Parts: sequence; structure tokens; C-alpha cells
Amino acid sequence: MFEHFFTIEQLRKRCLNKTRSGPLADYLSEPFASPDNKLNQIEFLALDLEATGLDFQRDEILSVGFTVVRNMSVILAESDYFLVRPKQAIPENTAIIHHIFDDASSKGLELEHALLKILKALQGRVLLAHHANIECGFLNRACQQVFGSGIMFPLVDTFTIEFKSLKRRGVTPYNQGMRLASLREDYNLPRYPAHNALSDAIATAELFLAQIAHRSGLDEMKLKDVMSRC
Amino acid sequence: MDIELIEIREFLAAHHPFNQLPDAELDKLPSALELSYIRRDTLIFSPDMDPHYLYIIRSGAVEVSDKHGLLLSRRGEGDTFGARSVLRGRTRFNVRAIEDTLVYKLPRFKFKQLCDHYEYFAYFYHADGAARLQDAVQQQTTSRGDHDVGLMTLQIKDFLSRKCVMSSPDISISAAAKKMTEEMASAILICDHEKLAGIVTDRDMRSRCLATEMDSKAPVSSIMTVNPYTINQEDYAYAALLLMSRRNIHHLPVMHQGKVMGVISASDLIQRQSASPIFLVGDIYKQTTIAQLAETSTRIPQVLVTLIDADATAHSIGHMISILGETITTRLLQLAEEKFGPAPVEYCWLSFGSLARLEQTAQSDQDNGLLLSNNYDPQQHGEYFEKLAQFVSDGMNACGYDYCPGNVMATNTSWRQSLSGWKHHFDNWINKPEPKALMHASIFFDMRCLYGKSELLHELQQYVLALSKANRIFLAYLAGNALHHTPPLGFFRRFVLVNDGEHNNTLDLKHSGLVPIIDLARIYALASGINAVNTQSRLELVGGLGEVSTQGAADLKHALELVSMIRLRHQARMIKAGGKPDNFLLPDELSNFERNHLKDAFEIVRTMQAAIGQRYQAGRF
Repeated sequence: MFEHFFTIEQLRKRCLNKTRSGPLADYLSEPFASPDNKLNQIEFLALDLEATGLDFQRDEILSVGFTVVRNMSVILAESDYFLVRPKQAIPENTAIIHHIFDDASSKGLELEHALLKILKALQGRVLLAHHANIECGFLNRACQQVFGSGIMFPLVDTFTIEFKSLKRRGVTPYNQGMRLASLREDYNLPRYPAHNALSDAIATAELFLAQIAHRSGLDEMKLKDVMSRC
Repeated sequence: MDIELIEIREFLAAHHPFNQLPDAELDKLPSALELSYIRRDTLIFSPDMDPHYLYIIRSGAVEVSDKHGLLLSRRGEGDTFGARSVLRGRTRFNVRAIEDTLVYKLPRFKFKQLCDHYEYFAYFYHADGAARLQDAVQQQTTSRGDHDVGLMTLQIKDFLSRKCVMSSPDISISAAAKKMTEEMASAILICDHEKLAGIVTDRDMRSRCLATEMDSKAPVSSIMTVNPYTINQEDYAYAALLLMSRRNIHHLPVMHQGKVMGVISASDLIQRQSASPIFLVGDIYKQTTIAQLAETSTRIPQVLVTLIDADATAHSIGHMISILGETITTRLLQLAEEKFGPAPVEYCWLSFGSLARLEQTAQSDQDNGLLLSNNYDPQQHGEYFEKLAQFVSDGMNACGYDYCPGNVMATNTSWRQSLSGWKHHFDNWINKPEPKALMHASIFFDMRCLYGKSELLHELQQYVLALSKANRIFLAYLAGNALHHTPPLGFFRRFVLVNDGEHNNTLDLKHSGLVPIIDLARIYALASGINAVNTQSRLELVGGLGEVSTQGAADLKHALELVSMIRLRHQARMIKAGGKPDNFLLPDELSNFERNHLKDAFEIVRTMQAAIGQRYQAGRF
């Protein structure tokens, strides 16, 4: 793709130029972590969100959970979890998955307020998610709605890390085995109850630590070795 | 802000010592944690580093070794490591992940804060295992009414074993009678929607139904005692007995927080009394045949259970159960003398091993011998004592004390000797020690006279002690033997971790728990010229006499009591389940309390073994 010819810093500046002043522009005006930095010098924001469905053009964010990875340790003290108030009623078929119902949800944050919290936490950090196109899509769409233009961030996707290494070894990944819970099992990580945004964010962070620990030379590994494009 | 770290909180709450923290503290704890993933074979820390965290293993396992690489312990899910390092301010050991491991790291300041605030928490990580063990043993023993296992100390709930027979008020009298017959119950509780409505007993069936010619199809509620007297399951047994005699009734429904738990009858209370050891001693003396004695001795396991339930100390339980073995032996000898006539020369019936040490729990193999006066003449008296020995040995076997597989029995001429014959045996063992022979002979150094002329044994004992006390080489051999059985390092998951890093499925409470302590106490006693044979008495007497410090002996005594108690509880569980008691414990059977204190006890034994090994240069023999 066209964008691959640019560095992430160039992309950030292009994105900033298209953004009107406000919280999003403030966020974009800070430089991103350099892809040449070693992983243990980088801070990650492991983030997961639950939504009314999987279509980020139509569905809405319901809850957000995140935690911080610093010096390759998960810092639980810096985790957060909050509900976001959707405009439409929550469809029953998704409520049974994430257990967020209209009652609780109506006490959630306004989308704008939620985004401000996320932007603040993301500043200077790298977004870490499993199968990140959901998170990317929803965050981007929400920023367009609230701030009038989309967002950018450096990204590490644990799904992609696994996918690439399987491909390198000539293994064809299959869908079931690439789920967060199955990958965690492969790395001898404990089972967590799924579908809570914070526990999924922590689960993703742990998976990332495990993936890196199993790929030799943690000391030499750089952000660019594991970075994905949004 | 309500952070949803419930899953981590639940994990902590399920593990010791975090489960001792108050809820409010547990709520806050997860957000203080950091999380790391350590790949298998990675060194987490090594000696002389600055410790930053208490580590809690979420998944995976680590191995702790000293700076020479000697394995010290293995830790798995829910275990912690690094605590002592944080408290000392310096790491002391190597810790290496032996599996891919996920750890929760509690920062140093937060860990210290918890230690400062919660005494129990600090105590758990305290370095002095011996002090912790002493407290634990004392805590277990203080609440006990030692020796008193009657109705004064037992609670009603201790009597509730079989399930209670219940019915609704509307079934017929004959249906109720049928149910009672099927369940072999002398009373039935009538419950209306789980609420106790009344009780019907055998006596009510007779006096209110049969005697009044009532139709047996009538509802059972028409003959029940409405709103009967009840007793709480926490009440003491004597309270039930008082209530029964005051009201002239024989059954009481047992309640707990308004719910029916069962029913207790006067005969339940009386039967339990008969499981008291004093009662049983009296009964043993009343028996006149081996068959009757065998029948009577089947009650011994129940006595053991009663004593354990009554919280008697392991020391006194060993004493009481051994007295029963002694009584059976005595009774058999009385019967033998009736049968074969009075003994032609004076003799002393010896027991060896646990019965001699007053440490029997479940019945075990018999180890015995005959010590005869020097007037003994094999030509003249041989036949009499052979028959006597055979009679007693067969009798013991019938009573559950199996024949000794090593043939240490009075039926064996080697162990049926005159005083000078026995002195000759001990001469050989002590002055010309051979490791192999001595290993088998060690039980002869724990001997007691069960019946007959105890002066004979006294003379033999003085002789043995004079020899053994002076003979360092003999003691060194004994010390070498004593190091054959070593306690395990500890527990790892559901396994017992032994010195070579192997995992055992069960803990052999006898050979890896008690035998090392018994062996140590025997050496101390023989070296100090103490003639006591009971291990606890030996440990109480030898402290400070030069072989072992007062503190060292006291620590071993606490270890002995703890291991013995855990063995007794294990055996009581087996008896209650209808099995034959053994010494093999699954780590899963242990409570957190027992697991932690056992580890302290093992450490004490290992330390004392190392000391005696050094003192006698045990490796050289």
C-alpha cells in the first residue's frame, strides 16, 4: 500500500495536519515512540473494548479496559475500566456475550469523555491489542464522530505477531487456534473469563510478554520487529 | 474508581497467606501488583542482589537452590518466593523458572506494609520456623482436656454419623414404621416443609398405636410428640444426657441454626463411652479366650478415633493405645500361665519398637522377646517358654498384632534368652558393630518390660547404657544409620519433593517423618546414658546434656508432636472411611496450616541430622 512508503512519524504529521485543533490534535502533536527503540524502553497500552456488535461503522463502544506495560511488566496500578453510554439500546444477542445491559450502560461515560481518557493514556505509548482491527476501527470511527477526523497510533498486534511467525515456519494458521484464549494456552498462561474489556486487555498484555520471552534476544528486539500497521 | 480485577483478587483470596487478609485489603491488593512472564530456564534472581518484589506464582513453577546449586525447594501455582530476601534486604538463593511462568510481583514497600499491618502475614514469612512450629503445637494443645474424652468434652456433632430418618406428617403410621425398620432407626423425625414438627420413637409406636389399637393407616402425625425437646449440635454431650434423664426421654433431634441435623439417642451416648480406653482396659481383663480377646481388640481403632476427636495430644494417644497393647499382652500371659502352669524361672516379657516406646497408634506388627533369669536351663525349661511364647504370639496375631516379618518374636530362640544371653547380644552389637546388623538391631534399643520381673530388664538396661555411652564408634554407626531416612524438602503442587529432586505421590509419615526423629532421640539417649525409651521423654531429658542443645531437643519435640498428630488424623480418616490405617499421606489431605508447619518440622529434622552427621563424622562409617 501507498502508506508503507512513509515512516510512522511522517504519517503522524500528515494526520496532524488534517486534524482541527483540540484534544486529538494535542495527542497527535507529541512524537510517537521510535520504531528503533528497544522493547523494554517502550511503554505499551494494552487495550480491549466491547461493543454492541462487530461493525464499527454502525455499532457502538460499550466498555473499555486498558493496562500499561512498562519495562516488559504489566503495571496493574495503571489499569482502568469504564462503561461508555451508547445511543441505541443494546441488542440482546450481544448483551449475553459481554453481560453489559442497558441499566448499567446508561450510567456509562459520554463517548467524548471516554475518548479523552483513552487519548491521555495512549499519549507516548504504543497500542497493544489482539486482532487489533476491531479496536482500530472503533477508535478511528469514534474520533471521526467526536473530533471530525480519524486517529493514528503505533500498534502492536499479538495476533499478527503469532500469524507472522507461523507463516515463517510454514504453518497455516487456523482461526480457532489464533484466538486469544487458545494462544494463551499455548504459552502456558492461565485461563481467564473472557469478554470483560479489562481482563481481555490484561490477557493480551500477558500474551505479548510471553510471545516476546519466547522470541530470542529480548534485549535486541526493537519496536519495528513487532509493529503492525493500522 | 472501581477497577475490575476480580479475577486476580479471587486468585489471591484462594491462597495462603493472602486468604488471611481482610476483604478491604484484598480488594486493593490486585492494583498494587505487576505482572511478568518468565520463560522456562530463565534465572529470576541470584544471591546477593537487591530484592524489589515478593513474587506470587500465578502459573508455572520455579526452583530455589543455594549458591552451590543444591536444590532447596520447588514452588508452583499459588506459592510465593522472594519474601525472606525482601525482609533481609538481600537475595540469598538462586531462583530459576523451570516452566514458563507467570508471576504477580508485589512491590517491596507494599509487601512490607502488609507485614507491618497484619501480624499473621508477617508471621507466615518469619525466618524462624522452629518458633512458628512451637506456637502451632502449643496452639493445638492448649484447648485440650487431655485424657478426658468423656461426655464432658465431646460435642453433639461428634456423635452425628449416620443419616437421620425423616418423613412428612401425612404418611401413615405403618409407612413410618416400615421406614424405621428399613433404616434400623429407633426414632423418626416428622418434618413439615423442612421445619421440625415432631418425633415418633419405638416407644410411641408401642404405647400410642399398638396399645390403643389405633388404625395403622392413620397419619403418623397423630401419634407424634409435637414440638419435641431439641439440642444444638454445638452443645456438649453431657447436656444431652442431662436433658434426657430430666425428661425421661431417649431421643433428641439435633439442630443447627434452626435446621434439623439429625437425631441423637441415649444409646449413641452410652456406646461412645464404651470407646473410652479405660473402659476397654477393663473389658480386656474380663476376657478368657483368645477368640474373645480378638473380638474385644477390634474396638481399638474406634478408641483411636475417639481420642483424636477429643483432641488428645499425640503423645497421650500413643500412650493410651500402647497401654491397650500392653494389656492384651498381659492378659494373654495370664491365660498362658493358667494353661501351662506357673513359670519355672523368673522371666520378663519384652516388647520392642513402638509398643515399647509407648508410641503405638494403629495396631502394628508385634516385636517381642523373652528375657529369662540366669537360672534358665534350656534342657529343663525350654519347652515351657517355647509354648508360652507361641501362645502369646499367636494370641497377639489374632488380636491384630501381625507376626513380625523380621521374626523379632519370643518364639524365635535368638530372642528368648537368659539375661547373660541378652547381654551377649548387646555386647556384639555395641562392641563389634556392623552397619547392616545394627540397622536391624536398632529396635532392640527401645525395649520395655510388659509383664513379669522388670528388675531383669533394669539390669540389662544398665548394662547396655554403660556400654553404649562409652562407645563412640558404636554411636557413630548408629548416627550413620539414622541418616538413612531423611525428611523431604517440602511439597510441590500435589507431590512430595525429595532431596534428589524426585517427586513422590505420597508422604511416608513414618519413614520420612517420625523415624528420623525417633532415631535421633535414641542416639541422644544412648550417648547420654538416659534409660527412657519414649521419644518425647528422651528429648525432654537429653537437652543440654552435651549431645544436643536444650533448644534443639525442644524443637525436635515439637516436630515430633506435629508429625504424629498429622499421622493420627490421617489414620482416623482412614478408619472412619472403613479402611485399614496406614502411613501414606497424599499432600492434598493437608490443610494449609499443616503443610506450612510440616515444612518447618522437616527443616528442623534436617538441621539436627546434619549436626549429628558432623558430630559423628557419620559419612566415614
